[in-house]
Amino acid sequence: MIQLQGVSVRVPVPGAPGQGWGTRTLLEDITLDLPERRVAFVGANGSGKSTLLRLLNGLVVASSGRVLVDGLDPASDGKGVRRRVGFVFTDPLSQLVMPTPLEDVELSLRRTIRDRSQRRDAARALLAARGLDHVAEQSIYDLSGGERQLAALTAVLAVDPAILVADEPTTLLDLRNRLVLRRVLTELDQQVVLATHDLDLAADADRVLVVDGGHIVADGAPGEAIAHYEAMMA
Amino acid sequence: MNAARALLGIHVPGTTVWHRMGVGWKYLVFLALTVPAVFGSWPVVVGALVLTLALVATTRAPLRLAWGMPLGLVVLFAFVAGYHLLFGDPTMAVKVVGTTLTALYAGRIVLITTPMPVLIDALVTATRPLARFGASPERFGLAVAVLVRSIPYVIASFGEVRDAARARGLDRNPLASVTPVVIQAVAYARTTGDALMARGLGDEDDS
Repeated sequence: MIQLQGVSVRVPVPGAPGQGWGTRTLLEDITLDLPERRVAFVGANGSGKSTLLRLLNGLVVASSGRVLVDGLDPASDGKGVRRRVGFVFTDPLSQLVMPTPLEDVELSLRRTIRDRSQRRDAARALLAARGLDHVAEQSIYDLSGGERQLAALTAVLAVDPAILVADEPTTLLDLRNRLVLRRVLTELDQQVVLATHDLDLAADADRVLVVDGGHIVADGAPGEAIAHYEAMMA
Repeated sequence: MNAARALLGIHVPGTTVWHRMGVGWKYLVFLALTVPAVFGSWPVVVGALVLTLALVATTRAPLRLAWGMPLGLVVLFAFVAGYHLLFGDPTMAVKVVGTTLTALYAGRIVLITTPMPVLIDALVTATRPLARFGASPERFGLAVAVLVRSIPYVIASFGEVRDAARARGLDRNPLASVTPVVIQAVAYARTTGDALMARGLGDEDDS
């Protein structure tokens, strides 16, 4: 289970001329237990929801407080946490490291499958299962946004993480691809924790949390929390 | 043709002798083509370049992919050649441009005919003896793979930034053309680093 215990994140920022450096608080004193299978964070740009997600696999380290993922602290046991937590970024192009989807999925499998031909077959099978076999050996630059995001998701899921964290995974997608990704995320066995501006996607969650100014300002069932967020933004 | 393909080439599946050849042999061919060009006289450079162009064509990759070159590089080579010609050294113009092109096209033979995971495996194997000195072969292979992926990105950034500067009427201002590329490159490095870290790639016990 994911737990945050009094977590704050502060970053140094340049102060006024002649004043040196100050600090900006991105998250303040967040305490949460997230046992639900589908959790969504919504909030305006800069509200702190991406920072919160990044805490979950050690991309951001808490300035104070403690994060625990299945009992492991990402700050001290990052490797163990990263094996449990897969992370999908908003822009798949920054996530896909290899020139083609097939090679990228193979890269994910390097740790678990040593034999090269077995690894290639496994990667091909995983891509085929997501309907990406026809683009497996194409340049990632030649793929549509939806295909890229699905390829990135396939590469992350290839190592079978227990938890999938997704930071605005549908932001760059058109309606059709948003619906495809939404269906894929719904069908996953993993616990899914995501941040999104897509309120339809958030509505699929078991629990929705509204982040504003580094604080959780609403937390509950999707209908109730999304209504709170919409009222806040009106 | 996108920038990712334009400079170094991308793997094109096939059954040519190059595709069946071991990576180590391909590296030897790469060295056999580029080392004489680096140390040879200008006729040797021209010979190496012509031979390399012919060999790239035998990979059976589309010629646009095998021989094509990003416009930015064409301009750069023209500038370098022009500089040497202007200062009365045509031999140097041929040597510098010819050697660089030979190395680029020889690199394409390797990259067009070898899947990246195979290249990484080869690099990891080749650098494994260095592990006893504290080096991480897995990280070395990964770093080279990221490098191959990143160079075309930076070149593509130059094109996008140049177009944006032109649209704002700032195409004669070098600061407007270079500064955004540097910022984009740093941002790209950060996001790539985040992506690698998030996926646990390069973690110490990967080997």
